Amino acid sequence: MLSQFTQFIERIADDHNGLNYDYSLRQASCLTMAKFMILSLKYARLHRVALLDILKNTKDGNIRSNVIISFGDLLVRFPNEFEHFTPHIFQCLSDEFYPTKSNALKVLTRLILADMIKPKGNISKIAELIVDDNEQISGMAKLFFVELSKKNNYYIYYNYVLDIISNLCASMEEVKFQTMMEFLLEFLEKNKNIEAIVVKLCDRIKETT
Amino acid sequence: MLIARFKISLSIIDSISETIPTISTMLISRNVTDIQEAIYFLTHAYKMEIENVSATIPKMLKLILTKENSVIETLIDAFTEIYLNYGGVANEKETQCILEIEHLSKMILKLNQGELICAELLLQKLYQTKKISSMHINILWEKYLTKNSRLEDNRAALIILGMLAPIEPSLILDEKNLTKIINTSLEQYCQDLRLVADTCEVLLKSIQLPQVEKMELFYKLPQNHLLFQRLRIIMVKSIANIENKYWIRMCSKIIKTIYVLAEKPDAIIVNIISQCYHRIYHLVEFSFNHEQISSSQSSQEHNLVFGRIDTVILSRFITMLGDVAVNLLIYLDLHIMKEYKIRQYIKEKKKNSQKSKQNSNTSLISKDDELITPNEDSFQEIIFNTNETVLFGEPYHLLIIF
Repeated sequence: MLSQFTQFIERIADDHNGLNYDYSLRQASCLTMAKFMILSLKYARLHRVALLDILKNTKDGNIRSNVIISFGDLLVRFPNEFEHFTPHIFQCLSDEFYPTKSNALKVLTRLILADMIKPKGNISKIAELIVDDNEQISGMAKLFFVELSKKNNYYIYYNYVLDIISNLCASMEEVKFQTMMEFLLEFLEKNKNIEAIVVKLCDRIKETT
Repeated sequence: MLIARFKISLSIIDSISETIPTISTMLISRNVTDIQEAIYFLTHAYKMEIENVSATIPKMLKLILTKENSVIETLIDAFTEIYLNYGGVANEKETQCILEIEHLSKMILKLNQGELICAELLLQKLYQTKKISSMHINILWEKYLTKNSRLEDNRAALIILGMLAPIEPSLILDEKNLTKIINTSLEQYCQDLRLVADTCEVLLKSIQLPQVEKMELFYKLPQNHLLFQRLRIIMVKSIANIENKYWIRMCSKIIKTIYVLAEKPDAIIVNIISQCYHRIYHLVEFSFNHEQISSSQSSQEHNLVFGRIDTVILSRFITMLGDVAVNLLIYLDLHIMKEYKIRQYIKEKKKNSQKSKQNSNTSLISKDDELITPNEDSFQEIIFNTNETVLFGEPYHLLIIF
């Protein structure tokens, strides 16, 4: 039964700028297309690029924020098929529209803390949000790092802190950088570990000079 | 002298009122005693009818999620004091219960989604500790069934009954009660789509997945049950009512209810989709005739049909298809898989009992060693292939593989 309507829904969802179809129609179609993708792997493989195009090209923030949630769900359902889409979700952390930014952060928090994805160098994009102007976003980013520091493997957190320092020390405002680092270093209680970080940082400085 | 006393009383009340925001912050303190003291204070302030305390009471609800038993106990006592020890003028117990339920209903209707979840946990605790009595339950049913009362009162009573359903499913699923619910909330010409959505939510709350080890059966209703007939009629008739903002929520709940409760949900869903489609199609035809456009111009193709209908109706139809897809996935992955596991477990049990009878004198092998694990992988593969068939196969091919 559903197969009869797929093409029509795809065509509406593909109208990124609303030239032919109304906003509510496009929003419903994008969500339905994502739900179809969750149901079928074959359908997901065929239309994942189209969903990414919607995320990149649509000007409507609500549609983008819905697509972000869909990507999160698809990553849980078919992790191998959608793993390489994670950088695009990280990019949405700098979206101008609040719900998109907030949803991207929520989705990434859920995926990283459940070990579904590894943030690697992208962790600094979340760290930047600790000093975001929006209090809710800043609160969510702080909560993420609180939970991340509680996780069993401490070394992973130390390595993340190192990555954050090396990625953001040059590009961020000094005051904001200090506030962010004060928050992140709070979770490194043991002196030995702080010393290890200093040593590693010195090594990195040597490498770059 | 008297006026001076009144003035002092008023200044005390003002002082208490000023402290409420500060006391509220103590609810999230790390110190258990602080939280308990704050609860006591707010409870007494509420009893004294201090002006700004009513808005703080719902904030206390989230404390039900704490791990500290002492806080939970204090919270239960506080809500019992506020809502179930109603210090009204009523002498008779029944009148007092009515007042308590009215008071509780008012609170429930003001809560947001998160607070409702906490309220549900709290009410369940109150029911388990028998602070919500059978008399309260009877009054809730009366409130819900009374047609002359306000719609909001009916809805609040139903929501409270639904909150208690997870620990007492018979409150809703008992045949008599289910019939009452169908005849009250799901009338054929029902206009209150919000009530329909809430009713479906209540039905869903009363259903629990059966446990494999207990060899429980799924609670399922036949395909032609009155519940599904009414839900289908309401959904199809209301799809064109674009003024009602609750249609999408109702649709989502109805589809979920059908997949959870019906014996052959796919047949009912196919019926609903095709009836909604035809209703939309007739609307287009009507608009064509109205505009005196020749009927020969109308095409069977979806594109032309959909090109002329209201976008709200079409968005609803598309949303419905998405909901069907997600619920079908849940149905196959959760319900069908669970059913398979239960059947396998029963088979294995029977096999083992037969074997043990045959070898009762000689067998020294433990029963656990004899259990053969069912081949789940092949069944999972069938479910996976069925998911693919839904979007790429022939229409009406759904679940034929089973």
